[in-house]
Amino acid sequence: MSRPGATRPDQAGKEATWEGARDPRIVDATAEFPGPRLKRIWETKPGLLGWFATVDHKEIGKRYIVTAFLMLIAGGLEALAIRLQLSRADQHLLTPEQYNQLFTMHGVTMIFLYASPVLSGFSNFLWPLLLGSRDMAFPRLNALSYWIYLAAGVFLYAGFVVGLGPDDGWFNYVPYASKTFNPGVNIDIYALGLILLGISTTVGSANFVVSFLRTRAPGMSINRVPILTWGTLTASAANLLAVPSVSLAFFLLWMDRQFDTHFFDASQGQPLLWQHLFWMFGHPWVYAIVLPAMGMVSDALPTFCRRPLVGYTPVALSTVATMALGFGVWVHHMFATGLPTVALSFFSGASLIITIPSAVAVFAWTATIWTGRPVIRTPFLFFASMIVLFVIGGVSGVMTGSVPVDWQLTDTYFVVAHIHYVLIGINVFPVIGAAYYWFPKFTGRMLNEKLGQWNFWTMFVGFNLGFFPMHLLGLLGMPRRIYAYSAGMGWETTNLIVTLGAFLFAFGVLLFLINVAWSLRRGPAAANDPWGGATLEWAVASPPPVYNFAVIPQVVSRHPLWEDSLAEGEARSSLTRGLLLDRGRETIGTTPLDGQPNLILEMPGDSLSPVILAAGLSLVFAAALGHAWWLTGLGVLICVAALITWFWPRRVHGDVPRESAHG
Amino acid sequence: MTQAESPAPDHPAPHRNRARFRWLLLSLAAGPTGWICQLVVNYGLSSYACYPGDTPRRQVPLPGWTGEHLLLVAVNLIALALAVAGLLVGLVLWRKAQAEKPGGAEQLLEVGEGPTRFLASCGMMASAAFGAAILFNTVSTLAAPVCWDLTH
Repeated sequence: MSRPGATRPDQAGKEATWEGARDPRIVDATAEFPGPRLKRIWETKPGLLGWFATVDHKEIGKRYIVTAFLMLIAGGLEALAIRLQLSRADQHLLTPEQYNQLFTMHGVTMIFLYASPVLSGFSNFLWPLLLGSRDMAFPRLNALSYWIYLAAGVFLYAGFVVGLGPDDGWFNYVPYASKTFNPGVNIDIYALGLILLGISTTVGSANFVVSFLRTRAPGMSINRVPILTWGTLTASAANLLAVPSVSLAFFLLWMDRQFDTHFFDASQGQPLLWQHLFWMFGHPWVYAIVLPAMGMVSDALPTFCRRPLVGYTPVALSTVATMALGFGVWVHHMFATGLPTVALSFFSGASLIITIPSAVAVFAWTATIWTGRPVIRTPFLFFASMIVLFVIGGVSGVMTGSVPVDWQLTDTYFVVAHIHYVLIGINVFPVIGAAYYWFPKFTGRMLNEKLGQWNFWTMFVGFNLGFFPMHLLGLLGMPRRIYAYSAGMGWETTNLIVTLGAFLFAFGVLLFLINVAWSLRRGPAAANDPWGGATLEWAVASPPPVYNFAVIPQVVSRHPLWEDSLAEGEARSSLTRGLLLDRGRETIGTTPLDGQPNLILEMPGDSLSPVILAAGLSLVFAAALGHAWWLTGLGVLICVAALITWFWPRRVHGDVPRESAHG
Repeated sequence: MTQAESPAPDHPAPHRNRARFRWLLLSLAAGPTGWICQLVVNYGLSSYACYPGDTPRRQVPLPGWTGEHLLLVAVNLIALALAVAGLLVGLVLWRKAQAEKPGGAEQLLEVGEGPTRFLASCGMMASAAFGAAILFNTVSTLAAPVCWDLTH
């Protein structure tokens, strides 16, 4: 064959030449070839060592999702305890300290340990399948990201279970979080835990960015990628810029608390510096935990509307634009801090203008439903309801983006209602919908549809019953984060309704978990493409083989599986005839813009290095918490040893590698 | 049509040589870059001009540099110029690559085929949207000079 990428001019006008050490063959895939050979190459060894060593993106993705759902359950139980405490006036089910830890851990859990990781889980599982690749660009980095996430979750919860959890809110404002006012170890656990989690987020984000740029199937130019990948790419790029801000903030705070530095000291430093550093991270993070979920809706909703997404180009652009604008709105969390009014106006303007790209997505989804032929199945219900909840949460966001309105509403339950409409509406609902949609691909079985409809309506009614009245509570002046309130404030009945709604919502989530448990054993077997989807993941078996694709597909459109029905052109994507890469763990590397193949990427095999490195890092942080510096040194040595084995030169097979994916 | 009967796929970007990547990048990045620079500089300079609190610095009076209003005007105009430049470059690239794939602008918005014209159109739209944001900020800065007097 001719060299796959030989003498192709790239976008810069240069010739993008084939850089690989050999030319891969193009073959037709059959049941006998090359699947069995690829299975031997890619499969993980059985047993405990194999379980810890695997770098398979599908395994890592599922672990992310399961762990994140466990966190969702934990955060949900904390929320229910909070709601019981607030269900009546003058309630004393919890002590004030327990309450502080509960609402802090609820926020930390939901925002850091559930909302982002669950999206990482979906993207880890789906990306290589959507992009026509055999794995992420850096499989070991992927495993490291998960293990550190798990370690950070355990680290943060270790203090909580013994009554020493973070207790200053997830935003952790100083000076309340300073040693003077909070002398226990609670805030130190939070500070070190968040820095540890930041490492996980950073390496995971770098992996997504490089995977997007280099591991797409031949022909999948930048305008043919699914919106989910735009969402996760944008969120990942934002994380790379935003996470250092919060990691630095927590490191400086830890220094203040442990070594008497004065970065955030009210008398000598700048307490507002904390808020700037935190919200420079915090607001982009909010977009990072909704944009991939919006991407899942953009990709999955059209399947149930039997037509492509309306306005692919503006939706892709609006995804990126939302994130860019998201970096310029952090001060709207600080409108009430006494900053000069005229300075606030710029951030108010930015907060209002962000509605434009958000509205583009809303109109695109609505038009897709309006002009399509909707099939009302459980995933559709979750996706369609997300549009409604997004609009409600968006409108209340516009209200709080206005400085004078914010001055009235700040620190009231109105803001609690807003954040929950945004985060549950644009994260939990799409995630549950996506779970129904991709469960067949994850497990090979369908979720129960009837139970799914009960699941949806219970969650939808419970959510709105629980969270919509919070707007009213806020307008009535109920402050957020209060431990108890007096009778006669006029808040009792509404709070009771909110608590009932919260329990109904939790029951809805329970129905989902029951459905998963039941369907894993008794759900009907799923075909390759049970919904009639358009993208590449539906071209492989359910669940996919360990190597994903027997041959690397060649793509000629954005919806390879709908080309015949859409008849947008004469060319057809080639799904069963393509590049044979079977001399080891290999996938094709393509050019960033045009998706033209230009080298073979030799992927690393399973390794214990990621889990050992994560254990070493955890030891470093745990020992630093107790000032056990010799243990910290031991942790560093473990990290160094893990990195040496990780990067030890290897020869995967007979070829001289031109470019190895060391991660 | 089956895969076997399908013609060999064309290069996804037949007009890639008509638009250099650096110009595409300029078109895509000019608007957002101008906007974020304007936002940060406006925030800093307006806070400097209004100190302490909402009191004009000159009225206090406080020692220090007093040329902030000129810099404010300059930065706002530069940001606006960046967005306009991005829009124009995007427009030129779009005109060069608009026939990259069958169907006009409507087809591009709907389907997105043709990566060169896709990026060019994204550059145009991004420059226009961020240019609008820059324009609103500029108008508010110049038309409502709370703590500075542009005539002095």
